Amino acid sequence: MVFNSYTFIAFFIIMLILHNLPFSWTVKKVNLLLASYIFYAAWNPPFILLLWLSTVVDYFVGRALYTQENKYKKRMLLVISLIGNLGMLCFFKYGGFLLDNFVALVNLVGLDFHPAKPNIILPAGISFYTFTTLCYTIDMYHKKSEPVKSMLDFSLFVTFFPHLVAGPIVRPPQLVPQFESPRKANQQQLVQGLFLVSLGLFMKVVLADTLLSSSSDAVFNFPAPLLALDAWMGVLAFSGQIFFDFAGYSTCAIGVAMCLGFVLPENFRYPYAAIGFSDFWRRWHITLSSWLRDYLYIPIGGNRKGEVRTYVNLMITMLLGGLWHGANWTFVVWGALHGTYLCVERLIREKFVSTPKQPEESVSSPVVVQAAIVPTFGRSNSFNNFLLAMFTFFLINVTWVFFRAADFSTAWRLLASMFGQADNGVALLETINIIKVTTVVTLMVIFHWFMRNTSVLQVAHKMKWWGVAMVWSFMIIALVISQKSSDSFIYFQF
Amino acid sequence: MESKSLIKAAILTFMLAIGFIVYLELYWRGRGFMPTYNDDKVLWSTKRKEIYKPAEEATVFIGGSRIKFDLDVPTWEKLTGEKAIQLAIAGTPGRLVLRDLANDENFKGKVIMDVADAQFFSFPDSARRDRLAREAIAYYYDETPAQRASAYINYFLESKLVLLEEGKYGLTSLLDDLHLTNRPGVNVSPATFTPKEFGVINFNRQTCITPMFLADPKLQKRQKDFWTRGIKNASPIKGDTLHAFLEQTKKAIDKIRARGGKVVFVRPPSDGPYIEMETRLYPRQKYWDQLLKYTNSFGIHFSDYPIISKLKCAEWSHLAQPDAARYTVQLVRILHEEAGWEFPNTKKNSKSTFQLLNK
Repeated sequence: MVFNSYTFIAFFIIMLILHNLPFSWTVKKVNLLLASYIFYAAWNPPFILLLWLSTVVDYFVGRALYTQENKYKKRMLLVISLIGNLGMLCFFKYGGFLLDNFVALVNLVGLDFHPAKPNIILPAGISFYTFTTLCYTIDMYHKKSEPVKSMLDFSLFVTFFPHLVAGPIVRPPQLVPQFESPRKANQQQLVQGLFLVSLGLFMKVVLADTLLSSSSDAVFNFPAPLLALDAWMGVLAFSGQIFFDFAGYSTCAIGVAMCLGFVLPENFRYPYAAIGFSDFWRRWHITLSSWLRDYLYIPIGGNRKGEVRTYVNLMITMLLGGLWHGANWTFVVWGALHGTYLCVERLIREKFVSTPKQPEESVSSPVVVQAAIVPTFGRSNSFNNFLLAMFTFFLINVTWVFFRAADFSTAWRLLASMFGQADNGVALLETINIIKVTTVVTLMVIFHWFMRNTSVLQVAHKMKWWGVAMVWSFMIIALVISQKSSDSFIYFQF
Repeated sequence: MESKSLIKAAILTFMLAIGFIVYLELYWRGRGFMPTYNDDKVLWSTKRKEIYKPAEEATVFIGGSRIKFDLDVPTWEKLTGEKAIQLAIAGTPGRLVLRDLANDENFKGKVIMDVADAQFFSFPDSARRDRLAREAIAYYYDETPAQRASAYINYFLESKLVLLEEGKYGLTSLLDDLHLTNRPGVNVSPATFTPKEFGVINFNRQTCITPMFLADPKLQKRQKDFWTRGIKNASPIKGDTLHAFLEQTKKAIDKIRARGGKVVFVRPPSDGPYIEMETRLYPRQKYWDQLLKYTNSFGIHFSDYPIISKLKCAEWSHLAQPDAARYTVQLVRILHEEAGWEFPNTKKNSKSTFQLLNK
């Protein structure tokens, strides 16, 4: 089920009503859990079993990890959880990819091997809920928090429908305590939540799907070289589309949870106003980069094992972060580019910028603050900083080419077109689409720049109530006029 | 902001949004538009599910826009006692849908395939031309229970509200109506040229030309200009490509026949300069006749039947009512009398209906 659908609207209204009826807290939690399973089953019913299996195994393994004193048994239990979760993820997500690469390798050495292609359906949200349950078991191993008291609360933590399919990736301390006592939204939370849902849908339906997706799809699906203008328009369209699509989903998720009285963590903080890549990763998919920092980068050494290892650890983290997005080498290259940018940025800062070192673990800063020195210039809004932000945005757009392209030949062809190196490039996009992309992307960048140190709700609180109403009604009217059929979110495929 | 102010903001938002929606709905109705359905992959998928009815209860129609306009579903159903399952997709040649039916082991029914020369005998497996069919077929197989539920809520709303037709009143369409000048060589989406007044789609996926379109020569000229541009860019397939295409079509038809199904081709009417261009680019002997011979199929070419030949297209290519009903009557009669199709569910008064419509 997607947020931008009539089915979800009907489902959400029913949930709001049920959640506000005078039932006991346990009954309400059961309602939420059943609703979350229905939410997931509405995509493909049999895959509920996978979700349930992951939940049950990790609940019991988690409890055992916390109480187990024997070092070897403890490690064995962790291995069981890792194999279970990552094994499931690898099979469904990377099974075909691994087989294809194995076949290519085997054929390369001269052996003729052509197995039947497995028809593996990728369960929606598996990358997300797998990471959620892994959070829990790894935290239990390190005793970072208490085990969840009941199976009901744990199940709800894993499957809570607002965050189930595409994040934000939540940690046990962020969500589990919220299930321990009755919660429902007060008037302010309800209205704020509905505002965020409207904003999220506006971002997804109007901006991503209606105004940007057709240009992005046209350019990336075109089998021949393009003029530089068309190539850039397509790439910029995609950079806008992926932001509005994913941030729109997260905003909806946060809004839906707020309407029910729950708080989910922020996942985007105006990433296209980032100055440098470490800043970018503090603003883009924040919960993923936090997860990668805490469960991958730091455990493999972080910046504690010397300069060379720091760079290596950074690259490993970003390569795997890229691979997490999809079973294709283009995603790995996307990750590698980000890793390279981060390494270069760190090198430049180490050599040329003297700034005070940050403490080893900065609670509020996600992944790569550990690998980079926080820039002092990141805090002001000077023209120079804006130029740096635009340069960062330019480099990010280059990485999006690999992220979106189906294969390397498409990526290279598009890059060649973007930089005027393609022969016989053609004009593809209609004028109206060029105008749409230019307008939306320009406004997006400006908006990000002016909002980079604040939030939508903070700004809304400072506005006059009729001003909020004008903006809010504009978004709803635009939603109604756009009428885009319910396309799924891009991050559902990850 | 205080809670009270937030509530005021929410109430004002609700009032503004509802007010605008009501205004928009009245605006489009004031211009003469009526509720219609989005002719999209979702509606196609809903109809696709119906193909498994027994052969004596339904006939499947595939192809392009001509059969969508020219087949009058109520007339067909009244005369034959059978359901007309309209799976034709405007702007596509129907090849992919034929293949989909052929590959579906559970389909054993009757197929009537519309052949519009400029689409059917051009651009074999072109990604652009077949895109809509490809998307519709993929959606059918991938549709989730949630999407199905959404679709039925949507149909209810679409049946009541004019403004919910995305292709005409959606933001993309409204922006396309600006008709900005494009750079040389840029291919423009055909939907941009089709007037909003051209047709309305009912739940049967039949498209009907509106009285507004019929009353406005400027709109008709616009549509005729579009057809002219389209056929000037036509690229008829020839030689080995044509042979390979006919072979592919034959294979698909043979699969359906092997399961007890039937396939008949129809060539609906076109007229004016358009038929002249079609005939010049796609000579009958080289294309239509070859198709029937190669696939060993029965075909109904409009020019072979005086009654159908006299029907006038609204814009050289599609029939309006009541000619669509007349065409459908002739179609049923020819299928029965010449192709040997039986319609066991025909009602007793159908003969009087034939006579009535032939006046």
